[in-house]
Amino acid sequence: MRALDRKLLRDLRRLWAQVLAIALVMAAGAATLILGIGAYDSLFQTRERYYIDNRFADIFANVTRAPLHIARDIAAIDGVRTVETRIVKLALADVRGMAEPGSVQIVSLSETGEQKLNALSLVNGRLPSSGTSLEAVANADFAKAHKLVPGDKITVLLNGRKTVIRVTGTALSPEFIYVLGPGDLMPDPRRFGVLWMRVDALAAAYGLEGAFSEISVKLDAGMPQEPVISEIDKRLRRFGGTGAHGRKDQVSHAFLDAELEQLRAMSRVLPPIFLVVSAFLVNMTLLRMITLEREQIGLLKATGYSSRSIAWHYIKFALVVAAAGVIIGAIAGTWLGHGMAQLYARFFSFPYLVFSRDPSIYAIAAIITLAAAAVGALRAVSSVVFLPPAVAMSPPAPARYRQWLPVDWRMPRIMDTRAILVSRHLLHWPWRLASGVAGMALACAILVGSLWSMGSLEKVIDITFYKSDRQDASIQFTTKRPISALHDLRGFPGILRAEPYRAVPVRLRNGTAERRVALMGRPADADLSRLLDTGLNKVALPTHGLVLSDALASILGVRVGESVQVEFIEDSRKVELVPVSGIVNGYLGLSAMMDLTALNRLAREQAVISGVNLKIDPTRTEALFDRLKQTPVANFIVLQKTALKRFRETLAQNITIMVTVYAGLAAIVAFGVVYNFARISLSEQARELASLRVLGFSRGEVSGVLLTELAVVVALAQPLGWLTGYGFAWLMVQGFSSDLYRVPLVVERGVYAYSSLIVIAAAVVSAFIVRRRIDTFDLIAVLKTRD
Amino acid sequence: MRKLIAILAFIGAAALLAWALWPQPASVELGRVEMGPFRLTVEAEGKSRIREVYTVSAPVPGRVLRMNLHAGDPVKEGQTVATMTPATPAPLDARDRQMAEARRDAAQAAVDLAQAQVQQSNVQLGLAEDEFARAQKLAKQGLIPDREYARAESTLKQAETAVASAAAQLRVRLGELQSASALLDGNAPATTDCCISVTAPASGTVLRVASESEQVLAAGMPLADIGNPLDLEVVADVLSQDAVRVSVGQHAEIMDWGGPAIAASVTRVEPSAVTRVSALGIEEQRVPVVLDLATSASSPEALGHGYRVTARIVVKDVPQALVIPVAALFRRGERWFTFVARGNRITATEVLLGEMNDTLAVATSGVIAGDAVVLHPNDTLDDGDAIVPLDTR
Repeated sequence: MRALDRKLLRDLRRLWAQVLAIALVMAAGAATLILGIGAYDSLFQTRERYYIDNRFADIFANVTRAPLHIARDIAAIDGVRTVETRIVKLALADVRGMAEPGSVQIVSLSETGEQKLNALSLVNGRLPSSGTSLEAVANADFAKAHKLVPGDKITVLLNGRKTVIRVTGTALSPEFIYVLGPGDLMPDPRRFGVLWMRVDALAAAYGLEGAFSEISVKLDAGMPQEPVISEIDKRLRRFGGTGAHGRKDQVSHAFLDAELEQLRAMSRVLPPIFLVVSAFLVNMTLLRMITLEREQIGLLKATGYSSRSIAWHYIKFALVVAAAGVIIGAIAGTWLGHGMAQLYARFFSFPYLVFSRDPSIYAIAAIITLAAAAVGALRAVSSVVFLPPAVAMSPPAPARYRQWLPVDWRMPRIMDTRAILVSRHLLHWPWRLASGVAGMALACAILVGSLWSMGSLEKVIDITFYKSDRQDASIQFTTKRPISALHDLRGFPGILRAEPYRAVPVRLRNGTAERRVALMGRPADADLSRLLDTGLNKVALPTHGLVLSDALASILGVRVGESVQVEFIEDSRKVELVPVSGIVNGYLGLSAMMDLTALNRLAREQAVISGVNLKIDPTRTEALFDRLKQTPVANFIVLQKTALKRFRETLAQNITIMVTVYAGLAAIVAFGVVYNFARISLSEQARELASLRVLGFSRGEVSGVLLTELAVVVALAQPLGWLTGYGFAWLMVQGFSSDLYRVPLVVERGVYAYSSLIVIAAAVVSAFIVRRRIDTFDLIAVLKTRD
Repeated sequence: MRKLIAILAFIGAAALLAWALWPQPASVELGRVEMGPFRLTVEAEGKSRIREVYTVSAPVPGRVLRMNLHAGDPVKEGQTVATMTPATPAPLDARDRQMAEARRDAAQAAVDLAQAQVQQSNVQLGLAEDEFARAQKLAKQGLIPDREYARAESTLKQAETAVASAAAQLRVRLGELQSASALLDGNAPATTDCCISVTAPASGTVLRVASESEQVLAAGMPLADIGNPLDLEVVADVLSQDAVRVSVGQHAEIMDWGGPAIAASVTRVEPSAVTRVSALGIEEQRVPVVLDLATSASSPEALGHGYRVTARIVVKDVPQALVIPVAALFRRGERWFTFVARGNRITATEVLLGEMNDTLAVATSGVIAGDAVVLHPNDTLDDGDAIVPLDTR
């Protein structure tokens, strides 16, 4: 083996702890890169393949009732490849063993059994037999939650009539990868499922023979959506069409997309942090190593080695460290990736989920990590490589400590010798101090940036569930009902308070800007569900005029006092000009609200309501649910507090994992930075410290010098870390803000405290390891002057 | 000195940590427990209706001439509402006509036969009279036996009755002929008796006119509704289980009719319930409850007959009771609790409740007037937590 390589191995063995610390930081970077890209890749590819295999449609449109021949017109539109019509309805379900009423989305299967679009993947059992049989296939999660096997029966209020449906099998569909009931926060497979029935049976139940209520369209490759969507809208308008939409407004697809975006963000934000820190560390370590080995380098050069091979030797050192990091990171990343895949399997119903083992991911991670190491090394190496041998071999000139403050500023007597030692040493290498502080600050910032969301989430939950929408349950009616439905509901067992609401789909237009929203009407004395602005002030709905959320107002470009055009898209197609009486800051992006009476007057209808918000006595829920299950006019019942409970449970599970992972990562970075800093500082001041020991200072006092230095670095890093962490949080809030919702930026005091505590704990651990080294100084060896 | 700084620094850091980790007070909305009025109400949809509605109907079958009355016109008692004339008889088709003509011809023939019989009986009468006169003469001379005389007398009498009977028969046949002819005559010209007036039974306003145009009606078909629109009452369909608590004399409010709320009181709770399909699609038993509008002002002119209203009947009215907002209550097991805020801390307190409406509940023990209670408490709140009240005005 070549001599330099042997030296390399010896150096590695000698400095194994530092090397390990740096390798761990690099591993963290590589792991998050592999995880992020890998998970993104597998999710993306799985979704693409699933969509293609099962012919997921591109455009979806709902109508009230349209005759089947319209489908031929739509198929004739330019760019449309395939068209399929279906009947899709929402209905209440009563499953044995569940007290609360659940709901099912019922989707029709054509009578020929051929599924042109949105094909099912049958998991077990068989498709329902043709004709008007009351059989159905359930989606896998719902079946699993209720332990349904082929042959079981469930009762469904099909168009208000109690119908017993037999489950013949379970299936998965690309349309329902993420199954979310209307008004729910998270998927609750117990309370919401999907049933596929034969179209004849559904048509008979809903009076839709020869008609359809939903149409799916697949476009030719490369065809843009907008022109086709507007053509479809034109044809479906008179059948109660509420507007066709593409995949991005389809619930399941939208959630998957959001998840992919998060993964992509994660793979873009975290790895650079780790790799930058590790580049710093490599730089620091190599610099120190090279400075220590100045004489050896001079000797090597004198004996004939070229500058290039010496430089290459040191770069190899960095690359070996990086390689170790990549290997550790690859293993960790793969293992974490499997864990993530399992997490996905819980929420997303894929028939297969492949964790992409594309070697290019690993290759990319490896290259990036090695590149970071090389960059760190180059800078260090370039400083010394060009020294002439003779200069290199002579002992280095002692460091010059000069007064660099222009003013003669006497330190007050508070600072003792130790303090002077520390501050002098730190300030002599300001760049090293800066990089150490920066590294620690980043560790702290990682924690702040990942822990803040919990407090923010709690605040959103508090505002949403206990300040503005406090109802225990909401009943959504199939179609609008007269207000006497409210009085009837008040007589149900266990209802403490009932408040009506009305939701009308409208299109708001101002000039060229338009948006389709649900215009909500609330009674003036609403207490359960009311409007709050971000200052948590109650907003009273004016007796006429709209109140818009500020996001919507800015999209439409209207101000208070101006008018906006309201087009009713459901029944009457009326267009009215309504003044905007107020604009509200809210967390839910696009909302438009009016007083209930005013809304009914605007729609020229006598008092009608779309649903009722309820406050329920928790001891009477069984009796209440029994009655509700037999209410033909409801098609969905949102149980807010149940949903919240489930949300909190899921969140609790995820938070533990998240906190552990992020705390681990931050601890690795903190440990690595402090350890390397300490080791380098120690080797620089070895002579001074040994001298102090010889002079009679105790081990504690001597190590105190070094530990104070570390303490200063850590202390300086905290405020910077808090600030940077706040910056991360701010960036994330901007990233989350969209049309749909906005997240409040609330970073609680405790977040800063916990982040610092974790980072400081990691620093303390590494400091004590270094202290042990001081205690085991070989004083004589240290004090020997090398010649 | 150094030690002092170190200790100070340490204390400072510890204090900072404590401050950072101290649980922040939750922001809550506060309500009050106070002495105030408490009302239990029953709400039901109903309709306004005029107390007495008179339906004027056709007394006889006939033709009603075009009515000049319109809904909203005032009428007085006894005023003619409609005029009726007898209807024209139905025309005959070919077969009926032939049958009628045949019947007439037969009747005519019968008349002729009767006339012939009259003549015949007259002739026989003449003969009998002659015979009797001769018999009388002979009897006076004693030349015929008594039996002959008697026979002649009775023959005369028989002939007289035969004449009378033939005459009567002729009248019968003449009448039948007249009847058979009348069938064929078709639209006879208007007979002498012209019109029947249908009058209003009471004063008031015309509410509804069945049909303005001239037409032929059967007896009993309605012509118009008359009533006094200022004399209104409200009938509300109350769920049977709520109707149990409704009794005559209770106060109520009539709302949602388009104007300000009107005071009313319950005058009648009908004894039997009817089955109605509710707005929720469920069959329910409903009891019609009749409410009188307060007579301080006569019924507002804007409220009409058959208008949809909501009636809120006060079934229990307590002027002063210790009431707590329902929003402040939560259950633990079977017991009711509330968070009472004292200073800036909350205590979970059990309360015993009496009646409850949808905003307030009567508290019988556990809280006192003036207590501040947490409205809609968050599920993370616990006994002893610090709070900061929120002003959501």
